[in-house]
Amino acid sequence: VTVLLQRHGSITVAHVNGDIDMANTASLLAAILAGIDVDDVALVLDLSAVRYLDSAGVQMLFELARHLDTGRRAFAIAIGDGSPARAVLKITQVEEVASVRASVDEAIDAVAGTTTRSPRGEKP
Amino acid sequence: LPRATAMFGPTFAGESVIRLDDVAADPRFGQSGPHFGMPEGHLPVVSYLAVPVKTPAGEVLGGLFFGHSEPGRFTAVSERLVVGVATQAAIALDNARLYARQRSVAETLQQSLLPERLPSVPGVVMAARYQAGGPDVEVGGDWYDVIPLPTGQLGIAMGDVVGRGERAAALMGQLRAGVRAYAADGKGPAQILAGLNALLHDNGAEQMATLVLGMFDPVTFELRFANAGHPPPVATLDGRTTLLDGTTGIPLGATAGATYREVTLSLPPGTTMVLYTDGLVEVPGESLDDGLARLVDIVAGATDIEDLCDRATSAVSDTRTDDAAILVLRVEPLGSRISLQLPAEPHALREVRATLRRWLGECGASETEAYELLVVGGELCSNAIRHAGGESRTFTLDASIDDDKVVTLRVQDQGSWRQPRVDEGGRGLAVINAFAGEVTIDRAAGGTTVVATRRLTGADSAVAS
Repeated sequence: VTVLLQRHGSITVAHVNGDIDMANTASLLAAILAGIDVDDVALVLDLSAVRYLDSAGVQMLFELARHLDTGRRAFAIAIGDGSPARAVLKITQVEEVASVRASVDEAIDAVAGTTTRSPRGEKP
Repeated sequence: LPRATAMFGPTFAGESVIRLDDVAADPRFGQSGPHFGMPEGHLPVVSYLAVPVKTPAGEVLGGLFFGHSEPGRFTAVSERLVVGVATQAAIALDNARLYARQRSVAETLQQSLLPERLPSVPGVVMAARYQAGGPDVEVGGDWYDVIPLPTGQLGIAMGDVVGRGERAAALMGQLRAGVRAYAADGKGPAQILAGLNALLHDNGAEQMATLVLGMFDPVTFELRFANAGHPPPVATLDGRTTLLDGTTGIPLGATAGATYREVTLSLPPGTTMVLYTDGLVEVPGESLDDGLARLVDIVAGATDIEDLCDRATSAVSDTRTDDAAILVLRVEPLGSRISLQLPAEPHALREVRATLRRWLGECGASETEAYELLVVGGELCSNAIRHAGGESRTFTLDASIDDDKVVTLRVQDQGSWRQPRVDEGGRGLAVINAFAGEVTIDRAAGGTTVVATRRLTGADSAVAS
């Protein structure tokens, strides 16, 4: 599995390519987290080129969501509606922790509203 | 054998030569029971000459004993002559033992470098033979290897190190390790050959080797191969048996900076490929072309690959002086049932998916059906890997399809499938339940068996839509 990182302003887009399974989730999570900039307000994870994803990968997505939530960052996933992995995300209710969209552009739009990062616990 | 009595002792200990005009007159004679002298029926010995056979290092290998029925028959000249013979004999025996030891070291080394058994790969049947060059010939440098790669591909190597004996066997070992390391690193056949060529040169060993190296993908049937001076592989493609030549580069170690050309071809089910060493086609008194033609005929006429190996090796066993090796691969359809036994390690999942992908394709599964069953298989095997116990730490996956197009995936391990935690296995079970028509879990004392079934419709069914 490979990860390609791109920056869109204060959003990091991580394009993942290959198969995700229990053999590589730990290193994949570490690679994605290492790619997040300190000023980032959101992460978009592009799973369009993922050929295989099962519950081990979903487990990693929930862990990633926890990390992002701790840093008050938004989380969106781009995955084609026709992608077979899309069904896995649906069954495991990944939508509860991430905005799941059909393309990278739509995923960026979904998190673009988050312009500034407010420190955790700060009252408005 | 004589015992180390007072009379024989000095010979066995290698202390001195004993030359006597009358053995019975010597004070050392007749001192030991039960006979106290020569036993009844012993040849009459009066004159006696005994010379130890001693290696230059001082080890006593035996003795030369002479007797005569008359007294005073052995002179100082006889003694010098026998001592000379004993010295020569000792050196010859010592060399013979050294040679046998070296040969056995080389043999052991070489045999340890040949695969004990070929890996089991669904859809690929393999057979191999190695024949040593005969007792009067030093151990040769023929070797082969079949390497299951992390990519699901199969690395295939057939090589011949120029030279013989321990040095050849040692280089074989280096090449074999080099191929395995480069291949695990994701390098292709031509890159690996170039790398090995550089290794040989940097060693300054002035040794050469030939090697044909292939990587076969049992899912896409693609073969990439490159050849460093080795006899060309023989393949039966679309009913025609031909030599895969025209790509042969120079042997490894021949020149610095050699590069190799890579050829890609398709080996669909029904294909046979044969790799071999020159010992199988180079026979004294016969041209190489005749040897190659004979091998091509044997390959073309073969139905069983074990039989093919036997016929190819026995065809040259009488006239051959060199050692010879042959490795045969035949690509076959997977059929209605496949069975994998794998180590309970996460990296095994890749092989599971590669084999299931190919098999489900052959079964006529739609893309969605194939993906969803792949996930079911992946979830079941992941659980087996997480919870595998037992001595062997392996698990098995059986997949079968019946006449009603019902696919059954059966995963068995020797561990206990503990009640899954909600955040982890719970999701796995949800996925399995969504994608498989029926799931049963049997937790027995010796392990856990999970069976999932689903009927193929060929449609992009999908559950979640």
